[in-house]
Amino acid sequence: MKELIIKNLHVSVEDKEILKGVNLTIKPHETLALVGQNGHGKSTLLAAIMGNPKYKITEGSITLDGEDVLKMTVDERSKKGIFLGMQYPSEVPGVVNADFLKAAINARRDTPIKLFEFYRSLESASKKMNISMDMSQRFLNEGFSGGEKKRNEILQMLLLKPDLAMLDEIDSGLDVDALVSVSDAIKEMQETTQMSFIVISHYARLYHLIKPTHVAVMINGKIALEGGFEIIDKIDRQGYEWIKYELGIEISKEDKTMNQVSIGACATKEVLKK
Amino acid sequence: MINLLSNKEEQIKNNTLEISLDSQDNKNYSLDFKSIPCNNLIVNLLNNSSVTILNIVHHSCKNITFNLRDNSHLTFNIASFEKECQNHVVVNMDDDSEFNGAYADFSNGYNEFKFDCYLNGKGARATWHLATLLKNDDKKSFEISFYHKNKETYAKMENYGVCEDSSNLSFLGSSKIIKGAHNSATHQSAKIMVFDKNCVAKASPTLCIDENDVQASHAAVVGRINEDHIFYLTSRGIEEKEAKKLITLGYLMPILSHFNNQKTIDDIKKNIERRV
Repeated sequence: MKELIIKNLHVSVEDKEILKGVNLTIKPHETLALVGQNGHGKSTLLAAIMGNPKYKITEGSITLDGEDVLKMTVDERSKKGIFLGMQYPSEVPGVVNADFLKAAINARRDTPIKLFEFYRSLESASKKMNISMDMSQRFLNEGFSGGEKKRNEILQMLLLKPDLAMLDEIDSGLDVDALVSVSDAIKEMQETTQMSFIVISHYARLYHLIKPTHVAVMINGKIALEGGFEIIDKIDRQGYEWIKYELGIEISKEDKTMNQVSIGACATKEVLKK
Repeated sequence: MINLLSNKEEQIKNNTLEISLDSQDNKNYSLDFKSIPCNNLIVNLLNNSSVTILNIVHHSCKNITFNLRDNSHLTFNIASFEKECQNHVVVNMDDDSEFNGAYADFSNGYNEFKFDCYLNGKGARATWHLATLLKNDDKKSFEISFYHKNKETYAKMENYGVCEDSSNLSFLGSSKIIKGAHNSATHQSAKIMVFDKNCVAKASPTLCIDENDVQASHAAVVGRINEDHIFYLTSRGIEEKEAKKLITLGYLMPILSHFNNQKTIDDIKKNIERRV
């Protein structure tokens, strides 16, 4: 359906350069496993593609079927078919999950979705994700367990039907059953649509279930290595040290910094995220 | 719903009207501040009575006192939509009485509201919830205070405000626990969301505690809308303006859960949606 091309992408956060020239192409119906140690820019890449204003693009380009993604607002990127399943989905107090989902669906339609059609779609997606319909009446992600939040992200993906789904550690916090629900949903989309995926995970287990078409390893803010599934198996067995010796790349250590806290954010959680 | 001021023996003395209620079946009364024929209104809830009073505030400047006798229960809902007002509500509570107050303020212009709750009797319990929206040059002040004067008393207040344009909002007030009011608990929370740089917002909850054996907490937050929340909503295709509206509605709508009259709930919803 759509091809995403990233060229020489440089991204900074609070004047610190995180991405230092990323080149990557995702073709329709591909599933890319994006792997690498913590703090090397995987989540930054996905956030920059989605347009998170905290991440400043200092150089490079991102295009979707030739269209300049960097000129689009965040909501325009979503409406063009880009979806980000977040590592830490925001808890938004007061905003009812169902109202949010309806607003998101209506944002990409000319006429608002009929109540019955919305209910039917929500019921079907909730069933697939093994989510109780009661959750739709709770505030968005507020009080959800880690696993519920991740399943709610995939539920949104099912309802919004994007062309490119970027899933950032969607398997963290999931029990075995929930992991199967998530991977089944991804597999169904892989089999029945032309959707493409960028999937970040630290565990080979998810990749074994969804079978990525290729693998990219991000080190020090760049794609250091691309290849097939054998890379995942090797990392699973040996970690990342072999890359240092085989490619001659010195792997930098992760920085830990405190985040700014604002209304609705829990200071403790913000620190724990890092 | 029964008009609180109808069919009552009205005796105005010294610019004060005094009414006694003896309902034990949770009767619902309505009260329009503007219709109070004098400056001061005193409402006595007799022992074991239980009533709900819905008050729609129009332009008014009144003093209202509720005296809750032993084991009585008052739910007091206030909604104001259009006109400026300046009112003072006092609640005096006897043993095991209960007061639940909620104020949905979507009025324009100037509003100065003062609320003093005296938990005089053992085991008295009071809760207070407020949601207010300010736009343009609106100027509003809410001073909410609880006085724990006996043991095993409980009070909780939650004040939520949204400021836009050049508006000015103050959440003031205090919770005082006197010596001897042991095993009491008091909790305060004030949150103001500020949209524009010309807004002035102040939240100052204070605790004055003269007893060791108590539970107390207070929290005040004044800040801009959370950028992570905006990003999350816009990343699903919702335009930024619509996302801000959803978040603001989410900030103000929970006040509805404290109201029990459907027409008033609908009126508040309409007003919130019109003004946001």
